[in-house]
Amino acid sequence: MSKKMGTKLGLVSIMALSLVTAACGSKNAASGVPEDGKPMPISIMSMYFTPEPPGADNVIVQEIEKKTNTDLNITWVSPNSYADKVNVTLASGEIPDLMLVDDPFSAQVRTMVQQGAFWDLTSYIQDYPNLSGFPEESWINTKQADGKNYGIPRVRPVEGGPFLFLRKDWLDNVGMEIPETTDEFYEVLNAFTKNDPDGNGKDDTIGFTGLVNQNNIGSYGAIVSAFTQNTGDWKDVDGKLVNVNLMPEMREGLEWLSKAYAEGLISEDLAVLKESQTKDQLNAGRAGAAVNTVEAAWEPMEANLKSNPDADFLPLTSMNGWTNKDGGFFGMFVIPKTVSEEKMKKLLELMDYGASEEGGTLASYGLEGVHYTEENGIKLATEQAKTDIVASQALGQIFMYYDKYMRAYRGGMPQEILDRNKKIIDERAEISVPDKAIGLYSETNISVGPELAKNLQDMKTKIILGKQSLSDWDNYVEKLKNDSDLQKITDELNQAYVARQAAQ
Amino acid sequence: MLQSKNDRLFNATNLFFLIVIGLVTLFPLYYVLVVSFSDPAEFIRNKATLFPKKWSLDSYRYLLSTDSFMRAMGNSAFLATVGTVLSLFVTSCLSYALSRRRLQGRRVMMLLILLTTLFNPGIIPPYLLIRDLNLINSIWSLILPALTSGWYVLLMKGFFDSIPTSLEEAARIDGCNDIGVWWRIILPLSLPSLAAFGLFYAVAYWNTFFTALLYINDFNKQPLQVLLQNMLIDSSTASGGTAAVEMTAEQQIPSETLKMAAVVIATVPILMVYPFLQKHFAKGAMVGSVKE
Repeated sequence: MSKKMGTKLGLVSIMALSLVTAACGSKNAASGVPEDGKPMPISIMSMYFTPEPPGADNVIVQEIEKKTNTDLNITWVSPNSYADKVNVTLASGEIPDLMLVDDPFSAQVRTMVQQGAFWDLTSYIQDYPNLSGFPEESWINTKQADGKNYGIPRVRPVEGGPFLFLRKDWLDNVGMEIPETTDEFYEVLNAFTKNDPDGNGKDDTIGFTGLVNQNNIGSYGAIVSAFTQNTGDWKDVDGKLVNVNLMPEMREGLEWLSKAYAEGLISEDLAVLKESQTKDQLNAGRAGAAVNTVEAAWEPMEANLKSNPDADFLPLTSMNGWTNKDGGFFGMFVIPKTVSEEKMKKLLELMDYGASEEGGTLASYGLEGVHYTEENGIKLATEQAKTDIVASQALGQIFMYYDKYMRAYRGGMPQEILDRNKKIIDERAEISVPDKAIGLYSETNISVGPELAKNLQDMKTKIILGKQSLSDWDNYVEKLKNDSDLQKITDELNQAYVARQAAQ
Repeated sequence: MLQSKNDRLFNATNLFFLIVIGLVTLFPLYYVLVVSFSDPAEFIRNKATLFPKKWSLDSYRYLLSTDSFMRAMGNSAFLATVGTVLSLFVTSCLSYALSRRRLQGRRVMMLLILLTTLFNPGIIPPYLLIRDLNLINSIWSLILPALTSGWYVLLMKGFFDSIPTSLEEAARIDGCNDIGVWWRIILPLSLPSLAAFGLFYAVAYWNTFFTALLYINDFNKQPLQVLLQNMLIDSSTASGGTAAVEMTAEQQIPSETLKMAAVVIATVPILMVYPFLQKHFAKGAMVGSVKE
């Protein structure tokens, strides 16, 4: 059986089964709360990004259990297979007390929300100071179609998300200023490619390294979005959502990219490039600019500092006066209705502890002196942290203390880089543009959206590679404007947009 | 034999194309091998060409020293050996019984087996079954459902069909019971078939992946292929979903040389089984091609 086929068949059975499980879900509602004083058993399912997940005997898990009087049973799932695992778990009816759903707006989560399978947390949140301290966007963007919160967002900072960064030392070498417009950026990339910015006398550098994905323009999104002045695919024009691909600004962005490609300023093999390969290029000092989060720019910088003490990767504040604002979440934790109200409150208490400074630090960094040392407010992980699997990539995925400067900090970073990153984040916060379409539901978009996005991206890639001309793009957009599916998606999204605004 | 000019031309072109295709097929495998033996730092700087610029066993040394990789190897080895032996036992018993005409209800059983090859229940019903059997997180959840395959039973039955009934009767006259016949006469005769199907099963068990994803939550019990997937796939390509999410910065991506070394180590054991069993192939998988 092919995997794809299996998933399809599986989805059908999920639909049928979720009806059954939701109906008989309240049977054991009173169970799960132990006698006074005993630790509460709690099952959790989440993902991990460390090479190996923390085990049940992990010191930090035990520490958190002690602090919160709980008995945690955590199922760790690899991010690569998380969606499949969510499918079977939701369908089996034995949902863990706290389960991370990576996509809060997937079809089966929606159906199960409608069937009342999860606790509506909207009225409880205000009792938990740390959880309610999450950014407003995180709560708003995870609201379901009825304007209620059925899960605790796995919080992410809204500022400092993936955006352009470039090599400041190269900029100085070629004697240029920090670019603020796409035209200036073009000139910078030109110089990075052709003027030997690393001064080694060899023509071995390119301006920008990045990849495109099957359904979106990937790293180059930061550039075209600087033209459309928007985050995401849908722009609010006078209160109505418009698809940015139909806008003339998108054409300008593509023109910029195809010219840059023809001149060799951006990755030659962008259509087949992999994330790890772009990182290799940056680490090897071969590329001058890329897209990533503010703190991630430190990674290639650290690698280059070993051979070049002047190396400096600077995250840009904006491009054409635009920068992106993130949704503030990466999935959410749901609590099934099979859990009693008393236990649900205990679960919120546990998550609230994890969202406190003490709990969050414990989960991501471990114990001071054992797993990290602190110097001038910067935490340095010790070797013991690796051995004990203490990292924000593991337990920090469940318990996270929200700090708006979360995207400023990376282990081993010097103070001045941290301060600079904080300043960049503050500057971006003043102008950043949020994605208006997050979580808006469109039936048509679910069925034909992926195909449409793939075709669009095929076309864009061909134009950047010079295999199709810009007049081909004009014809394509003309056809797209009359496409009945796209019109239907636009109508449905606008309806959901109006409805959600009214519900708030 | 004399060849005409045209024949020779044809053969030469044929040879040329086959060699080209052969090289094209081999190259990726060769590249994996070369990268795995490259020095990690050197590889990032210069990439590998036909030969590594600097040979290094670092990636192998690292992999073989990690607990998780060796544990996963052990799990897969257990699956492949225990699973194959049990599968061969069940499959040969079942197909032998079905190949004897005196078995009652043979037709119904055949039909039921045939049905399993035509219809697939999807992933949820098996999941529910495994869960109710309390096999979640047990390595047996990867073996028991895979014990036999309808298609292999039909193939093997074809093989047993070609063993004449008179042989069985002769053994009976000499005093063998049913089990004796199966153990002393039939199994030794079907060694080539057992070798061929054993290889099929071993490869399938070694490659166990999707069921392990679903049924095994405990990281320490995962087979090798699941670990490989974690290592090899950039999480960015798997994220998709809403534009609001992003995970590029969250994954610690292992280096290219490490990935390739993992691929080599994971491939070699099962590759080594092939030469020993291949000679039995032609005879073993005859699929009843000779009709009496």
